[in-house]
Amino acid sequence: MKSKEEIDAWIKSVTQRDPAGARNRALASLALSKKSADPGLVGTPRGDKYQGEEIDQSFRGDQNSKTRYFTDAQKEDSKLEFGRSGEVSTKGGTLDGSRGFVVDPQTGKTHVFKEGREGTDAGDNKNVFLHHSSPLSGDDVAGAGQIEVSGQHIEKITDRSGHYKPTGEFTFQAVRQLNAETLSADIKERLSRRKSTATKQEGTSEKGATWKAGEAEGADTFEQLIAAEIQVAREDFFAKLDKEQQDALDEADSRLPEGPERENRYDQINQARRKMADGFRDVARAVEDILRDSAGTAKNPLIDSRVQNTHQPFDNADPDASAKYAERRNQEDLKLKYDALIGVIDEKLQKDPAADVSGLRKKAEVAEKALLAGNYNPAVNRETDVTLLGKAGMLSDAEYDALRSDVKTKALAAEQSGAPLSGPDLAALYKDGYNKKSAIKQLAQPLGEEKYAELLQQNAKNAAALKKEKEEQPSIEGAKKAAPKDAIAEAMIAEGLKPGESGAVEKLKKILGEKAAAAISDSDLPAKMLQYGVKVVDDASGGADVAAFKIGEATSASLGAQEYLQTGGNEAQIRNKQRMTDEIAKKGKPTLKEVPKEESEAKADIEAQAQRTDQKPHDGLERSGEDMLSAEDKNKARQKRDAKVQAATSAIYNDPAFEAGRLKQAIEAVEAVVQKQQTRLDDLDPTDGYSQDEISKLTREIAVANKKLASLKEDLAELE
Amino acid sequence: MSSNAAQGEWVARVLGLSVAMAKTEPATSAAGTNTVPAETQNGGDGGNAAFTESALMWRDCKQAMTDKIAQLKSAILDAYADEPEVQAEVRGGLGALDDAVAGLDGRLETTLDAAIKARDPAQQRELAQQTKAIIADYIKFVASEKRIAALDDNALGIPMGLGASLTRTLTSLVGLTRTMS
Repeated sequence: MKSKEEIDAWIKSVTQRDPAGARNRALASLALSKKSADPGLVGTPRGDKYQGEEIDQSFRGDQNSKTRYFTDAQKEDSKLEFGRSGEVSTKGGTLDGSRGFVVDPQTGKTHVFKEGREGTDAGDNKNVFLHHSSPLSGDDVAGAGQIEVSGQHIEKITDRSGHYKPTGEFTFQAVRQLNAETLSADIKERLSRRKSTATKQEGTSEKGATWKAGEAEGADTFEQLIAAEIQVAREDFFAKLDKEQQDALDEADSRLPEGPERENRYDQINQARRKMADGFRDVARAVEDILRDSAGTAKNPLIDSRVQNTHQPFDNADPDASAKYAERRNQEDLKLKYDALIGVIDEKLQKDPAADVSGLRKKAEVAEKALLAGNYNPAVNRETDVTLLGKAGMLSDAEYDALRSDVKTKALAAEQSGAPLSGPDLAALYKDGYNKKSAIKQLAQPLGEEKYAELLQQNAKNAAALKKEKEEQPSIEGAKKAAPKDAIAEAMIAEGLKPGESGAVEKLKKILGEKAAAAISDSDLPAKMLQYGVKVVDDASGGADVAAFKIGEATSASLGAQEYLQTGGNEAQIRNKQRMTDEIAKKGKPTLKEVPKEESEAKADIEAQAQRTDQKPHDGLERSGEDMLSAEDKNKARQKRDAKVQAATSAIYNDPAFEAGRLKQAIEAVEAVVQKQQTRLDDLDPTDGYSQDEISKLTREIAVANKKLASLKEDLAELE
Repeated sequence: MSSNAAQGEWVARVLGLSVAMAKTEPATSAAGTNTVPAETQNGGDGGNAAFTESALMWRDCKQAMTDKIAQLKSAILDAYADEPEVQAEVRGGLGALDDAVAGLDGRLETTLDAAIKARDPAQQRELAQQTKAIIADYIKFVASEKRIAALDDNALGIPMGLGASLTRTLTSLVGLTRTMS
């Protein structure tokens, strides 16, 4: 006698009947009915005190009442039925509001009833009540409590049942069973519809033939039937997608000339295809999840989303179920992403064999490593692994955050346990004084020295690239640095000095100081005001602030590069203002009373100038008046101003005590900067998303500030 | 060539057998026993006896064939005894086994019965001619019906020998028709 397969084949060839197909159908049917046949549920008994309740409710001391036990017909009517989207109903009628429920451990079916007094027994005239023991006639239940139904959906489930007092695991079991029942209904309907369509289409459509062929030949289990269905959908989808992509590419060819624009369009189309394909895979995976989980071990969004937020609590819920589910989902995610990466690499290389895919390969390697680890679990794996995976796009933000949180939690627990902290635990907590670089190293160590070295090398490359970029595109800071140097050099040349010559800066300071002093003594404020576009205010100080400000402006070019960097120019002016004002007051030039007069003179000058050039008189001094003066006037005014500035500067900067004070202030300011940045660096929390760039930036800033500090201290030492 | 030899060649050609086999193989019933009397084979004068002999031979052959098919059906159902759903499906198709030999209908039995009862020599000759035509039809049917070979080569391992048995019987019947009056 030959094998069963050979017998099947022989029977099919002779009789045209298909034993294999019949076997598949039988298996599918068995799988669908498996839960009701053997739901594998654990039962819990009702309380002892309820014995005999169907005769009288002596547990309440009420001899005139009894509990009604359902007949078979009533039991059938109380059975909960599910629509494919989780809609619930019973043969006994539609549901709305609150109902008591019990789950039958023998059949897995849920029975509902309305608690309370039902009526009076005509035979013995006793009050008849319905309780949780009613549907199953006092037998054990797999779960009991209350459900609230609204809009045909279960909105809430509780474990309130005095008869059975179910613990958490029974409630969890009940919810899980509700999930399975819903899924079963969903699958039954889906398969039925699919089969009906396939039967109609058999012989007229490829899809129908594929389904039938899969059912008859390839699918010898229920799961394979499902897989066949998904496969049909997948083939349909990708055939359509391929065609759409090709049409779009053809359209681009016909519409766009060869060149970058067409290439861009190609990229857009290919990206869109990838997105669509990813979308389909997600959907297919979700469907497969639901189908595979029909064993009832994982959550079903149809019900869980309604139950999760309201049920309190699943105290004794099986923690393994969700952990296993999460782990499997994670593995599948990684596999999908890995496959997608490999797909993109292949695509790129097909398009251009010389394309650089090293970055993609690295990502794929990371994903592969995680996959090969087999038991990869982001909830417990090392942060470093996840950091790299996260960088490679292998983990979702939520997963990454969960892992970081986990690392920190463990570290805190370790600290609270009193055990000495080390390695990643210490790094995770990042206590004061802990060396940042060491923390990074320890976090990276699990990857191995080679990987750590590679990371450092990459960081160095990044830093070099950054530096080069900054050099090529000078920043605002750079411009600030360059500006005073250029201004000083220009001023030196104007004054007949040689930039870079020893003592040139001091000589310039002296010249400019003398000019400033002269400007003040000549009381030629209108010219200065026009030069600098300063708004003159008739303030309470009688113009002293304006004058002092003018001096500050005039002396700004005399600030050294370091000073300018330290203060950005403005701070120096502000600090100097008070000193200059004091100086001016001490010298008595100009008097505060004279300023308004100067203001009126400036206005008169401007109006006269405007009349000479047939221009409309300028009624304000708040903007530059350079264009309102003749070249001769401007030159004259500039000469006067320069002389005054030179005099003022000389008076100030030739005072060693003033200079020493200024340097000390600058030193204090820079020290504050160093301290502030050092604190920020120390406060960086490795568990709080800091980046290597932040560390590099702060380190660079501290180095620059220290250099500045050294220079200032050198200047001060020289002066003293 | 004798008329017997010529008939043997014709049968062999129709059935796809070698001439030597057709010449040497004695006629046997489906049960395997040689039921044709020597004198009949040699063209004796028992015309009515030939009709009777042919009827018995053909009846035995068909009965043996029916028994074998029933045995095969039983074996098939036994093979699926532990799979009721599959067995039910297969059971519905067992009629196809009978269909495989449906071409060997009741015409021959009817004609031979009529010939045996006939007393008019002209009627007997007419019925003899009909018998020859029916046997020729059957020989063509056995040669062309592939399901007979499929039943013989069944996956259940049941020895059937339908093709061989039918061929031998029909060959013998061809021999007997020579002696029919």
